[in-house]
Parts: sequence; C-alpha cells; structure tokens
Amino acid sequence: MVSRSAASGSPHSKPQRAVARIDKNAPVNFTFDGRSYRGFAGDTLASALLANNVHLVGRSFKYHRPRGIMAAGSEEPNALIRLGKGAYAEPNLRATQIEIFEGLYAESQNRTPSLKFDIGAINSVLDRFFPAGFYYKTFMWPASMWMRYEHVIRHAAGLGKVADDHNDPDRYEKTHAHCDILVAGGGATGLMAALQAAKSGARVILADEQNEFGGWLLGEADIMIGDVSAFNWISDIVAELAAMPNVTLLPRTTVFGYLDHNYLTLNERVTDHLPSRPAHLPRQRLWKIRAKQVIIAQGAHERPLVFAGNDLPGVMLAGAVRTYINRYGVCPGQRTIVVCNNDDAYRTALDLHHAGALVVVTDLRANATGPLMRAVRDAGIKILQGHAIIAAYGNHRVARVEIAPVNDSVTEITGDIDHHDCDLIAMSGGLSPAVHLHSQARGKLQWDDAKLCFRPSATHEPSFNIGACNGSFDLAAGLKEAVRAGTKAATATGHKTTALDTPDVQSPKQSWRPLAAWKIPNGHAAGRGPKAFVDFQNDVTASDVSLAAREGYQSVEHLKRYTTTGMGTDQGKTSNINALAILANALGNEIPAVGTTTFRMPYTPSNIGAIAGRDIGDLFDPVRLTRMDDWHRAHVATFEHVGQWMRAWYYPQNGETMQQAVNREVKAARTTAGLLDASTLGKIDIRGRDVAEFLNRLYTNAWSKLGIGKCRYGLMLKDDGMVMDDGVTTRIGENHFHMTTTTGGAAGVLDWMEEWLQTEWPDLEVYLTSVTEQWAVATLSGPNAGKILQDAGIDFDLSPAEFPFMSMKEGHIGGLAARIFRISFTGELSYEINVAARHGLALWTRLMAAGKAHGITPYGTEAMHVLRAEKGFIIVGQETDGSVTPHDLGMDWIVSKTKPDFIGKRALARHTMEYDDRKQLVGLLCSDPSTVIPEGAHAVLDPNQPLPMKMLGQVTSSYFSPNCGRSIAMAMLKGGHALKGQTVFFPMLDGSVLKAEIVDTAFFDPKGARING
Amino acid sequence: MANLSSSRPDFSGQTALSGLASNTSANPDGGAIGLVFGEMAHLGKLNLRGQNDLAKTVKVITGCTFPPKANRFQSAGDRHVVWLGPDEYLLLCEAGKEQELQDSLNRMIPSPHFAITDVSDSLCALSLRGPAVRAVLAKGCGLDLHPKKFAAGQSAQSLLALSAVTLMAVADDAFILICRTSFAPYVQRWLADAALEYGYQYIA
Repeated sequence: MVSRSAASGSPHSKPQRAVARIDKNAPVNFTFDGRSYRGFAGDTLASALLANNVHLVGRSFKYHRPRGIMAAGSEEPNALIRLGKGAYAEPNLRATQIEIFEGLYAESQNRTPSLKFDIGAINSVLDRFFPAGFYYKTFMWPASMWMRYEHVIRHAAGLGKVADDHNDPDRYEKTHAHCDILVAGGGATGLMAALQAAKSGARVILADEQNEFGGWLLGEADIMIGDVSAFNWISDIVAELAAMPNVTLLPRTTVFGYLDHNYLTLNERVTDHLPSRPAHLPRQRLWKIRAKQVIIAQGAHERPLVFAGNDLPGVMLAGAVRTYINRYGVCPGQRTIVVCNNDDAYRTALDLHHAGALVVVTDLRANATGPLMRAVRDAGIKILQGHAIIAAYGNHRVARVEIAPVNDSVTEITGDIDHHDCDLIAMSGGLSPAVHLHSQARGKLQWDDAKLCFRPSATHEPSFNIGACNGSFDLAAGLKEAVRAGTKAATATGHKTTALDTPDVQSPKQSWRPLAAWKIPNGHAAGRGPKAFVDFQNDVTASDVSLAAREGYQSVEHLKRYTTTGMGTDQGKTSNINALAILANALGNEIPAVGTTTFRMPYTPSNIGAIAGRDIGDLFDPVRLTRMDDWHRAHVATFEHVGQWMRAWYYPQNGETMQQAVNREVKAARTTAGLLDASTLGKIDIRGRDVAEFLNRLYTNAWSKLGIGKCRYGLMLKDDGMVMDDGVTTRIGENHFHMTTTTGGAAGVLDWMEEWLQTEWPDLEVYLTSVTEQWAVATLSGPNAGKILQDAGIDFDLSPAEFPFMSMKEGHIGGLAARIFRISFTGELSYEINVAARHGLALWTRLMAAGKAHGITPYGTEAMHVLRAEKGFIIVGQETDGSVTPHDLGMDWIVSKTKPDFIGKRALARHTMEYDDRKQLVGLLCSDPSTVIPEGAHAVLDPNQPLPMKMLGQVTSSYFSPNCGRSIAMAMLKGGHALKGQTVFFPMLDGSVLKAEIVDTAFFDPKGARING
Repeated sequence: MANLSSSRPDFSGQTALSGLASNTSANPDGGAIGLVFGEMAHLGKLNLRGQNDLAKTVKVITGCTFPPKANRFQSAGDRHVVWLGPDEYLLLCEAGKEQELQDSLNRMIPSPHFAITDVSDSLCALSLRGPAVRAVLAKGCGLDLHPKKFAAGQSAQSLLALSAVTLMAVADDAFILICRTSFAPYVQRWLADAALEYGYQYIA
C-alpha cells in the first residue's frame, strides 16, 4: 500500500489497492525548465511531473497551444521534451518513456521565451490564416522566395532543437542476433507466448519497450491471474523466463522495424536510465535480429475523443490515468470527468474514485449497462448517459467543461448545456490495435465493425499476432492466443511442446464494442468554434480533415500529406483512426473503403547514433596501408586516399609547396632515379592449361605466343566494348601467369574474370588467386636505376640483352627473393621489384640506402601521374569513364584484328563506334606555357558563340611538366583525332578564356629512346 | 630461373600487426577477460585450387583430409584445411613450412589442373578465445554464431563489420579469424573496441 508522499497540496493519491511500481525509499531529484523537482525511482518524467502537479509541459507544433501529458507510453503525442545539456542534449523525447534518474535535466520545447508565456501562441489567435495545407497555399509563389519562407517557417513551427554540439559524445553499438522465436512486446500475452515457446527449448528473444515487463497490466489494479495479483503473475513469469538459458530478455528495447525474411531491428536503451553512463557500455544498442518465427504482442493504443478543447493539459487518455494511479501512485486530478464511448473507461472512474478524486462519468452511449456501470453507480459516482463533453476550457490546464445531451449517433446536441468545473478529463474513444509491425511486414488488415478498429488478417512473414494488437482485448482470450501462437511457433521451428494451461483471469466483465462517435458536435458550423484536435502533435483539427476532403484530398495518403496528420514522432498512433473516420464521414464512405496510410519503420524514433554504431572515427572505414607505410610516415609524406588504400602522394622537403615537391620528384625520376611504392597495384596469380586462351578472350590483344619470362600490356573491355581496366601480365611459366590491374580495379577485375570462368567458360582450366597483398612492390625508375640495383645487390645480369624491356626475372636483391619486372609507366629505364610483403619495408630501405649515391628520390602518386602524362599514358578512370573505346584513346594498335573473338569485339563493330563525333583522346598545349588548364574544363571552338555554347569535350589530365618545361594536358574531344593542329578555347568561370593547341599525347621522348636508360 | 625458396623459411620481416604492442583492458564487471586475441604471426597459408586428386595428395603430404562438407575445416595437429569453395581450400600450416609443402604438392599432384599459391603474407590469421568471443564477433558478423549452429569444425566467409573475414570455430570459446593483411589493423582495433564491455587482452 503506497501513497507517494505526505506533502500537503500535492495531487498524490490516497493509498492504492495494489503496490505501485515506484520505490518511495529512493527519492530522485531532477530539473525541468530550470526548476527542481523530486520523484521516486520507478517514475517516468511524466509521472514525476504529474506527481508535482505539473501538467503544462510543451507547446504545440503550429499554434503553440499549451499541451500536457496525454498518454503513459510511446504513443504520447504532446509531452515531447529536450533531455540533457550541451552535446548530450536530445530533442523530442517522450516524457512518458523517460525513466528519471538523479540529476536529470529536461526542458520543454517549441516555446519562446518560456512555456507559460509563449509569443508563438499568437498563431492560435491567427488560426484563420493557418488552415490545412497552409504552406502549400501560401508559399507557392514566387518560387525563389521559398528558401526565405522556409527559414521562417521552420523556426516558428517545429519540434525541439538538436544538440548544441554536432559531435555526439555517447557510445553506441550494434549487434546481430538469431533466434527461433522473437516475441515483440512483453505484456501479459507476450510473456505467456515467450514462456510457451521457451519451454520447448527453442531460442527465444523477448523484447519490450518499457523498463519492466508487464505492459498495460502494470497499470491495472483490479485483475487477478490464476490466484495471484497481475503484478505477482508478471514477476513469477519473468523470473521463470530469466532462469532459462535459451531465453534472452530485452527490456527497454523497442522493436522498431520489421523487414523482409523476418529480419527485425530493435533499439535497446542500455544506459539512458542511469545518472552516469559507464564508458564501457553503449548508451544504446541496435539489434539486428533474424528470427525464424515472430510473435507480435504490441498491445493497443487508446483513442482520444475529438471534442473542442481536447488538447488542453489535464485532458488525458483514460487508460493512461489508470496507469498513473496504479503504477506510479499519482492521481492526476481531483475534480475529474470521465468521458467515453465504451465500458473500459468505467474502470478509470473506479480507480479515480478509490484514489479520492471526485468523478463524473459522461457516457456518449444512451443505454449502456453491465456490471461495471453497476459498480460505478454503487460507488456513488454520477453517470450522465447519452451525454458528451462538447467543449473544454482552461488556460494552462483544463478548468471547466460544457456537457450536453446528444443524440444516439452523437452528431447533434439535443438539450441544454451544463457547465462543470474540473481539473482532469479522462477520455476514451476505444482501442486501436498496434498493427504497426504486422503492417510493416506487409501483413493485411481488416476492419472490425464491432470493435471499431483495424486488426491483422493475413500475415506475410512467418508470424503471429496475439492479444490486444490482434484485436483480442479480453485478457483471457489473449492468453489463449499466446499459448496457441507459442506452441505453433515452437513446432514450426522444429521443437516439441505441450500447451500450457491458460491461467484463469479474474477481471471486470466488460463489452469491447464502443460506440462509433468520431467527431463530437459543439453547436458551431464546421471550421467555427473552438478547435477539436485529431492529430495533437501536428495540430490537425477535425475541421482541417473535413476541409481537405472538401478540397479534393480524398485519398488517405493525400490527406496525410496535405494536413500532416499521422506524421511526426508519434506517426499518428493516437490520431490515425479518428482522422480516417472523419475523412470517411466527410466523403460519405465506409472506413475500410478509405483504408489506412502505409505503416513504415521506425515504430518510434530511433537514434541515428545507434544506427551508426561504432562505424565512426578510426572505425569509420578500414584504411589499408602498404608495408612501406612506416617509412613514408617517417619521411613526412603527404597521403591521398585511393579507394581504401592510403598512398604516399608527395614528399615535401624543407617547406616545399606541393608543386615544388612534385616538380623535384618528377625531375629526379628522369635525371637520376625515383622510387615509387606500387604495392597497391592489383595482382592476380593465374594458373592452368588454358590461361593463354583465357587471356586471349579477356584482353584485346594476342597472348598465345607470349614467351616465358615475358610481359605484355593489355586492355580489358567490358562486353559493351568500353575500356574497363589495363595492366601488364607476365608469363611466369608455361601454365602460370601474373596479372597486374589498376589499384582501384583489382577486386572488380578478379570478380569479372571469375564470372566468365564460372558461367561462360567452365571448360577452360584456369585458376585465379588474388595475390595483391602477397607482394610488396617498389618501382625504381630513371637513368640510374640499374646502378642502384647493382649496389643493392642484384644477383643477375641487368644488361638489356640479358634482361630486355618487357621481361621478368626471379632473383635476389640484397638477399631478398624477388620477382623483378622490366616494365615502365614513366618511359624511363624502370624495374618493378616484387618481394614477399613481409620484406617490403626492408626492400625499400635497402634501395634507398643503395640509391643515396645515385640521387634516388622517393616519389608519390602525384609525380607518378605527371610522369605518365608526359608520356601520354592513360589512366583508366581518369581518361576513361566507361564510355571510351580503345579507338577513342588512339590505341587501335592494341586491338587484334585477327583473333576470332575477345570480350567487347562484337560491340566494337557496331556502326555507332565509327561516328566521327565520338570523344577522342588528344594532347593540349596551353598558349601560356605556365598556365595549367583546370581538369574538367570544357573546350569550345569559338569562345564568342552565343550561350549555350557547343561543348567539344573536357580536359581529363592537366599538369605542369618540369621535364617539358611547360604545362601539358590531355582531353577527350569530339572528333579530336581530326582536330590536331587546331586551337580550342576554354571559357573560365571568372570570364577569362584559355587557349590551347591540339597536339599528340606523347609530350616527352615521343620516340621512347630512354627506355634502356 | 632462380629458386624463390632459397631464402625460406624466413620469419624475419614484418607481419600485419608486428608494429602493435600487447594491450589489456580489464573486465569492467570483474571476472575473466572476455576476449584474448593475438596475431598468429607468419602462419603458413597456401591457397589450394583443384579437384579430387588434389585432396589425395594433400592428405599424403600434409596429413589433413579435405573437409567433407562446405563451410567446414579439418585439422591435423596445427595444420588445417578450410573449405572456401567447391574447388578452393585454404591450407594453414606451421610458420615457415609453406614453401616446402608447396614444393612437395606441386611435385606430387598428378593432374595438371590445380593451383597452389602462397598467400602467407597476403592473409593475416588471428587467434581469438575467451568466454565473450562469440558475443564480440556477433557485433560485426551477421551469421548465427550460436555454438550449436556454428560448432567447432565449422567455418564461414563473411563480413566482420567492414572487413571480409574467414571464421573458423576451433572450440565453443575459440576461433581463428583470417582477413586480408591490410585489413588486419582495422580488425584488431575493431575487436578491441567491441570487447570493451567484456575486457580484452591483445597479445602481440
């Protein structure tokens, strides 16, 4: 028997019939809008505020109307608050779901400057100017002003402010889980189903959004299960489940998404309820669960009644009032009016009465009878049958109501209006099953004309709906469904089980058939008189819905977008059915014919932090480093990302600019020697009898006659004839080849080759193995390259006769076993030295040491780009974009005319390939040799032509070449090959125009004289 | 042609994680460390591709039988053969043994249609054990890691967070994890981070 406290003047209730779920010995201090309050462990922020007689907790979205706490769970539309300070602040949290802890700091939202005095409330007076679709009507024109309108609108309307700091300091995690049976919802039926399923030995996960299991039963005082109170029944069954090793219990965990193939997403609030959050635990954890069977036991939401002034603080859902009384020991009012269209709210009247409040019941139904009505009458409570609250009034809290008799269908006022003073209205418009998860999973709904609700019909995924979310509001019936579903789900997952006995339920006898009364008359014409709200969070009134219907928004999806009904953080949990029914009435249609809007995840808002999890900071994306990376870092290289690889970009010395460093590196590679870390190049080891034939089909050129130890450059086309990758492939042995690919193309090329082998040419005996990371590669380039290799201790003859260009030898360098390829991406004498990756750093340092006397200079990827551009070598992905053929690149020489076939051959023969306006690769020399034309610049033939100009094409590569002593560029220009010698122009953003001559792409050493050093 | 094997066995040089020091983070709840892990430095790794005659020779040369089913591995002492695909296996062997085994296999396999490729430096193997090993892996891997569903002897190629991995269940509380060498620093960091709530010990 608990009373909350003895503080005088507080709304704390008199002793309860059952033990409330708060711990009176554990007071908790918290702050709301700058004032300190005290609650108890077990309180939510909402219950603690109500216990402190605080009803006004927020301002509404559009009209800035004062709003209070309406519900007791996740369906709460009004009581949205901002929790925490600074970077920890989080907006739009439902006060009804926040467990209080010592030092909790909360603020109300959407008010300036304070909750009690809010200048935005002027919108409420100006409401004639804010009808449904207001934005669409007012801000349509001129379109250019929308950005400015939007700024003002977003500021004036809206919900809470995000955190002050963009860096969320909290830790979030994700995890995967699998189970036989996931039970979504841990109320009475969810617990029963979980127990039934778990008894079979099946792996069961039970999740519930509340801090403790029990669902709405936690708020009931008049129910016995078996021979114990509902509270005790819950504790017993939770203890039994907790002791089972095959059961995972997840309290404070919302199943917020139900995706294909029984894949569900859950948000677990791990430490949100703790005053200080341990660093080793995530604040929240995202669970991604694959379940063989799902049992949905989400419960139901009570509907508000749509009467004028129904949004005032102090107007609450009747079931929520019961929860505050029984679970939290708070009676939210003393002079109370219960207004309802059903039996269930009579239990609230009894609980209010037992809590010491004055109660009047206003029943919309004219002749409801039954044991509950008798019990209420016996308690001396006044019942006004066939009456309605037609309007409620108050300033920051409801203060008085107008009650009048109404006709049977509640469409007209039939008698005199009576005034009553009150401080609480407990309203009940019937129950709506929470069909959200079922519907997210493409389950079907059917309208229940007796219970006035949509409930699940056919499921799409292997799942069951049980209890209130199935429209089975009667507890005993729900428990039977739970046993049935638990048994079936266990059997379906291959487990044997016998059905448990369903316990007897002793609860008040009641009817679950409410009266259809969707909009309560107030004696005024539509659109006049005080507002009656349908969607509280989005400030949508009954007349907004009717107006939208009159204006032609007859589809429920259009209604939703036009009025914003059902949007926001609550997604219309309390409003959707009322809105549908009012729309159906306005259209003269039936509710099932109007239908529902689409249910989408998330069920309740889920923190983005939990979805990101630990994929942040240095775990955001793997960064791949080469084996020489330590050296690059020690020598202050600047790095660039190439895919996931981190490559040395350039090595600035003594305060050099990037341009100075690159110039020096490029120069050194042609005058002394340069050393490049080329480890990231893709490498594929290819073995088998048919490799040469395979390469013939894969590349455009011929491979059959490649000798052992010889290398060949190849272009690979997609089947559309467009260049996809290039690289050098070497014959290591008769049936053994080593292919290199571009760094970025490595994985894609391997997949491409496997696909052809597995699906088109399974007859070819070819095996592929990626060896990209088996080898570390240093490319030594320049006239001194040979001398450096000698000094580094090469163990074979490097003379061009013994080791010619485009050949490979295996040997040792300084004792390290190596494959050395005499190939060149610079046009200089060049060696690509491959060693086992473990020796990559050793190779690099040995070469640097041996090269010291020979002017060795490490160079990065930028110098590599300049060096190859000086030679006119392409880079796939820079000169090409997936729409470029070998011919476009001027590389006809590499396309075999005699091979019977290769991938892309047929596409190259299409007549469109011969159009003379295809973009073709050319070289460019800017008229000002010191100006580097920006890459991406567009070329035109006549810079004085009227806009829009005719574009010829774009610059693909552009650098200053220290070896040419001037700027150079490459471009893809329409009909470019035929334009050699002509001048093109590049209009710049600043109005200037650059001029360039079209030339060959080989800018440096066009004859290739330098290849032997 | 020079013989690449002349400098083997060779345990010198770098491994994927040779720059890392040992590191411990206690179990915040007291009790046993949840995850103890370390690099199996220089573990020999050969990628095997081929058909039935490959299996026979591998049995003779290494002592390992091929796994009878997909996503399984077979062990003989410290050697394991892991199923990777219908004609692809990974042989793990003692550090430094890979070249000798590769040479013997190349000599002995009768059919010409096979490929044996040394990937010892291409892949990094980590040994993982401890009471929380499965809970830690579940944070990044979508497979069902329940001991009954992923029992000792089972293996799989999947993702661990953002890295491709091969997982081998050695025991209820022990795994071998194999990833690309360049992903190993990421995987190591990720494992330590994911194990924070259970405590971890990284052994260099």
